[in-house]
Amino acid sequence: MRSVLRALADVPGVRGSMVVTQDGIVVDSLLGRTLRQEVVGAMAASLILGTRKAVDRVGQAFESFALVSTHGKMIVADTGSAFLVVVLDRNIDLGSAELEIRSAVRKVKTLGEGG
Amino acid sequence: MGLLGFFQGSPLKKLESEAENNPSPDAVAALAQKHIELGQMEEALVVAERGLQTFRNTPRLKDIVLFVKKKRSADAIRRLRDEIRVKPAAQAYSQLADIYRDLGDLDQALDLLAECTERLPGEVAAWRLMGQIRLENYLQEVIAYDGLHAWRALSKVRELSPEDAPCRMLLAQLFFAVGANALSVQELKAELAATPTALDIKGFLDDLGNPPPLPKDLNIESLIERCEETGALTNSLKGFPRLRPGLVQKTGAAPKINPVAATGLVRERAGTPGVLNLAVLDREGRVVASVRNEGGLDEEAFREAIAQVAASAGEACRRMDIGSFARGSVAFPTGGAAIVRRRGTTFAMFFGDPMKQDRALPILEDFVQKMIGGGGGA
Repeated sequence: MRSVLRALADVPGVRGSMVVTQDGIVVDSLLGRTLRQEVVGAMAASLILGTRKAVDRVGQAFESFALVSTHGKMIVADTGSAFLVVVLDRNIDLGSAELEIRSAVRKVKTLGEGG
Repeated sequence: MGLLGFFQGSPLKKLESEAENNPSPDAVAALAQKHIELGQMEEALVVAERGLQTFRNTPRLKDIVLFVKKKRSADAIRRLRDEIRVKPAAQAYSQLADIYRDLGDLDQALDLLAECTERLPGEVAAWRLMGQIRLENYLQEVIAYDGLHAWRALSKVRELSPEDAPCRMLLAQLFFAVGANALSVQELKAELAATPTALDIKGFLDDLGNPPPLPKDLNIESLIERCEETGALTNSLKGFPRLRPGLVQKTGAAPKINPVAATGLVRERAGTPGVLNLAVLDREGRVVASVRNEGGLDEEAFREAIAQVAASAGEACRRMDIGSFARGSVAFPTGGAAIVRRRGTTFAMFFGDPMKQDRALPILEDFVQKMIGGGGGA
């Protein structure tokens, strides 16, 4: 898991990433100095819960949520048993980081399946 | 004039003549560009800056000014970075931050100041400059993130140096901009007591009178956020004493959305292939306009889902200190949802085939643009 997060840390614009379970428990994290694990973990869990509740209500299942704010970006992706959360700089183009993030999602999924 | 001079002079003279006799942004930019090609940086800067006085906001001229300033500052930047690396000192940080600020690279300036305050936490000037840059951003863009950081930085200055006069004036500006008039008066009166000959402040105070104190259920943070919600400052700072010249502020009411017009536009856009639901929600999450196509979700269920997602996203952004939620896209196995939040209004679309994830958000943003115009942030 750590090697996946390390690889993500090398992607330009990535400020940090973590893997959280569906209950909000942090499995592993590698965050930049301005991000606090307990805050990111709690907020990711709250976001996942809120989004899942909302989409469940309309009979859907969410695969990923790409969120852009005025001073940052975040991607939350379902890897099956857990969620990969990636926090990025506001100036980074999400499209350019997408490939690496998708690759990371696949790797976390494989690890989660015991592969 | 040598041969080189002859060849240099001729095209340059033509461009000078063109810029003088038929002034236009392109003619001025071409002349400035020629000076750059000839290595005449100062001349290029003079031409471009003069051009901007007539043709304000011309992107090409702005680019030229920035390019020359960057070239000019390269040595100073290198020297100051070396100084900071070897022996971090507040003055070097501030000078370097000022250079980046002058170049318009506010992110770089703020990063430097943040680093300075981490290493030298008692450094008042760095906190003050950080507060000033954030405040100016806030006055122009009305994004709560900047306002809150301005408030925090200036509060830190107040803590470290209670009589700091520039900080007092910056706080007075912030308080007045968000409608905390009584607090602004307090700061201005303190400044007037310190400098009794400040007639500009006296005149402004006479006009303001004695405003009532803030209600107990309001604080500066909530006022800062409220301005973001409305998309405008509570008070204009026009005529405010000691305001930095040329500072543009975002004042005036946010555009109201006409529900009838909105419904018409929503219906028109709902005809785009793949659009299953399209809705506009007000600040309270109530429907302004909504349409559901075949295969779409029940309108009320869609409204609730979007309101929930936007609320969760907004809270996450705020708590993680990454500003205000601006837009997002949720991917489902057979489609997705796109959400844009602008000036307190939420625009949302639920889509399926043939619309693809990477097309949905640009289409929705185009729709938002038609509805309420440009501008970023929430």
